[in-house]
Amino acid sequence: MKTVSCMNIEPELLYSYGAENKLYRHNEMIYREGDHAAYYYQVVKGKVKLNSYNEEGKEFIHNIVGEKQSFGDAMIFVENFYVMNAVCIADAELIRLSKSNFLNLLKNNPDVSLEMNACLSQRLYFKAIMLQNMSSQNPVIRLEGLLNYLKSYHDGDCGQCFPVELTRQQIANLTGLRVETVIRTLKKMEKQGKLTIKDRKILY
Amino acid sequence: MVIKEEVLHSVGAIIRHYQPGEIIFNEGDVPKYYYQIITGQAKLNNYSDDGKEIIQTLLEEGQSIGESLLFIDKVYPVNAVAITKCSVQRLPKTVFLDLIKLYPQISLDMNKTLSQKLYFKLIMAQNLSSQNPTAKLKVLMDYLKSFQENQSPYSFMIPLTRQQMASLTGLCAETAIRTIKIMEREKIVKIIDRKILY
Repeated sequence: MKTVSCMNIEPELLYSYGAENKLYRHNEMIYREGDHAAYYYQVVKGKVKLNSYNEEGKEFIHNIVGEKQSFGDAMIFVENFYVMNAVCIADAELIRLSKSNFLNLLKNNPDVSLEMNACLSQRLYFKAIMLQNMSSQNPVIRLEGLLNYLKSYHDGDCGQCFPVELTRQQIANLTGLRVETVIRTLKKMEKQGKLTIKDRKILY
Repeated sequence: MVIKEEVLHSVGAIIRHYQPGEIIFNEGDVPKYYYQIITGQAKLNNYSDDGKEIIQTLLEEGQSIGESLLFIDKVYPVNAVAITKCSVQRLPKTVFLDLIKLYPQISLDMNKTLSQKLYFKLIMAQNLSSQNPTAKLKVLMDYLKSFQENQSPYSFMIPLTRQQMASLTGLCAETAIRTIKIMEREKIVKIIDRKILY
């Protein structure tokens, strides 16, 4: 399953439109659910998780993005609020470009706009598949839906080399399964050769 | 409207007519065309392994159908089905990709269209893991209402059938119907002539 890592805009191009580097500490918030999108963000170093909490305070990690990936960029085009928080899970360095400058960059660089279309399309594709899989009663199908979606953000084409950086509890929250079911299903998928488990780490 | 009707016509788009329930494309087909609705409503759907319909997107006049698949090398993960009688413009994929390269403004508009669709998907995906049917329906209603200027209570008539609301949120139709009645009692919605006001 070949996927592209996106968006990954040349840093020089971003700087020429006034982008700046910003350092964030482990656990620092980059933006909050309910904020308006003011910047385009791209990761230089470190990792960022996109999460939200339900009314009982359960954490839902929707994705973890790393180097040379952007996040939250769809909200630049949609006149609405962020639906997730962005939080650093390691010390991180990000490039950030203000919304209006980013839109100018796109206007003057049609190829970046075209690439943006491909990037958004890929995300839509895997979300559509995830939505379908998550409606299944079969826990294997639900987990595959989530794992394929997460892996689609991973650069490269490999069998069982993608480390899933979610705990079993976090996977349970995302799929609406009980944690015992997640543990049992992961073991079953390992036996079926669909994934590898090494030191409790899941490789998909 | 994503692309002006005249522009599509001038580069050779043809108009196709569909009856309610008619398939525009099937899950598993190779994407060959750009589609844009002139009149009517359509939906993107698929079915879970136990046969429940999942509506992924509802589409109306001026919106494009499954355009995201023209940018990536994959088969359609969904069916497109006419809900009402539909007139749809259809343009070959290669012409569409040339058009978008030639007119950067169309590409920018497409950035926005795709982002809006992704935004909807993000909200619906968050909704899936919720076990509470009232919360699920409220998320859908909040989303639909967020595009309205008038935000006062009961000012917005939900433009969906109960079955469609169920298929969008992964609920059974019976559960959706029962939950909407509970929401009426809790004064979250008003129901007048079966129409839901939120």
